[in-house]
Amino acid sequence: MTRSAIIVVAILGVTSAVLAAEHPVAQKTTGATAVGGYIDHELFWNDNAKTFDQHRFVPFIFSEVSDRIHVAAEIEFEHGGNVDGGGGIKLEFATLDIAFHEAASLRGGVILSPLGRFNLIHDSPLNDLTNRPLMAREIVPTTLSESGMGLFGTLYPSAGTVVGYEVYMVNGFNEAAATCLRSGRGSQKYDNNEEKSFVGRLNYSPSLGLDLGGSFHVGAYDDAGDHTMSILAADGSFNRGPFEVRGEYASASIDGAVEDARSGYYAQGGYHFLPGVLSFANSILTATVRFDHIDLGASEETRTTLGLNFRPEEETVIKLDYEIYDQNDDSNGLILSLASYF
Amino acid sequence: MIWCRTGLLLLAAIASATAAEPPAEQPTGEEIGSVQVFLYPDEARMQAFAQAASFDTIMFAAPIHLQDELVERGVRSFADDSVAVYIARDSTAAPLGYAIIGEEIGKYRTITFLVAVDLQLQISSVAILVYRESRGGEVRRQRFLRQYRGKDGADPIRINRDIINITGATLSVRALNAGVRKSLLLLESMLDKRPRH
Repeated sequence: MTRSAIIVVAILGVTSAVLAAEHPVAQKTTGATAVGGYIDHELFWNDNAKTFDQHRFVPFIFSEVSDRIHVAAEIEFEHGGNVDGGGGIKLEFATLDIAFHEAASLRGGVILSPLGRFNLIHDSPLNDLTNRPLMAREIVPTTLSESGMGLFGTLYPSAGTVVGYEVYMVNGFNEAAATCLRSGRGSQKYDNNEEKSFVGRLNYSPSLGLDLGGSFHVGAYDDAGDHTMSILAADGSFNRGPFEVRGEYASASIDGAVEDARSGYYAQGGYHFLPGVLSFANSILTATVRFDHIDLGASEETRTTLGLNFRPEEETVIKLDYEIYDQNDDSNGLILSLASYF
Repeated sequence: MIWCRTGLLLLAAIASATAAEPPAEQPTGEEIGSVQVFLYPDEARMQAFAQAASFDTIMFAAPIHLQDELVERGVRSFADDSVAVYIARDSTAAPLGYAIIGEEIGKYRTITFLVAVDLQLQISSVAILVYRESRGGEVRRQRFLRQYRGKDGADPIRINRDIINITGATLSVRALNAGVRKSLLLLESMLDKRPRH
């Protein structure tokens, strides 16, 4: 055993002997593999639907092949997982990371595309509202996972600032993107043309609690590889004490499509209050408001969402939302949902 | 006894990390993978108490009621019934403060950290020893960790209250908060002190 290995083993020996961790998010099953996941369940109550939806059950697996080689995967069972019943099962992501340095890691697999903020931070237990922003459905079709390879890393230009980046070459979208970006998410098995797409994001945090990001997705989407689609996005978030605000803007330019310019944005604010109520020491309530807008060329929609949620533990949330649509009045209504990591 | 075995393992591990390899000859973080291992236990202790002349290590056997108290105060109970506490001493052997090395699970893997407190049980520093996740490594930076300085067991130590979150590393921050709260409660119990604001 090398001296390096001896010291690493010694450190791990120390750390395994103290304050043994117990946490609902992940449980160690073998020496190097952890499993966990999250679940959400929703009740919609509006003129279009009064129904329960077992929306997501997402187990994840994380394994350390070695100290600097990791494999991670999330398997999504959506709407119960029954394909005949409108559900589905898919790899939300499955990646092999090889860390050369904190500033440069190689990643390959089914990658969570770094396009906008929401696609990267979309877990239901983390979000204070049930439905995702309209922009995060129609312009950045979350959850957007693509087959590809690339690099990611973090740099620290100064003691108080952080810069992160991700850039990947991926299969990209397919021809259906001309009519609907959500339907145009590409195959994880094969590219429909010979042109590769590129997706990347650069984020900058000038101070703790303030994060700014810019991202892109560009490449040919049609079978012949003649037409290019580009999506550009900008995002920002700020949190301080009980207050937090965040927002995103994204625009898509789709060469050859009838509606060749689409865009959307949202702005969201939250306030956390009444900690430690109902005999849950870690509990907190959160009031949230979000303003949403999308312009798809042929149609537009604006939505306002008011939300109140209760977290008995930080990983678990009960959400009550009321949505008000500008165009689709029948969808105005209540949503009650539960979500938790496990 | 589990805690006796734990203590022996702990002491053996410390011995192998410190006595068998002189600090000056230890491989650098770059050599063993700076992506994850940032500090060794002895380095972390010395950083936390730069003026310390020596350290004592004691095994604190947690009383049974402490597990209940941990749960009441929103900290998950722990499996072992003892924990190693370092006591930093100056050249006259007077105590300078205390430190605990702990572990909590972030999204996927454990984060190993050190919490150091002064004699009033206020945090003097928090350091990350090992970070195993692919993302969120900036929790080890002082830009984030200095938020803990001066806090004690009467503070919330929670995001959206007195700890500013790191976007994209929420679960790591929550885990570290829980670990810091647990360390403070253990030290309060061991020293029979309870800070009041």
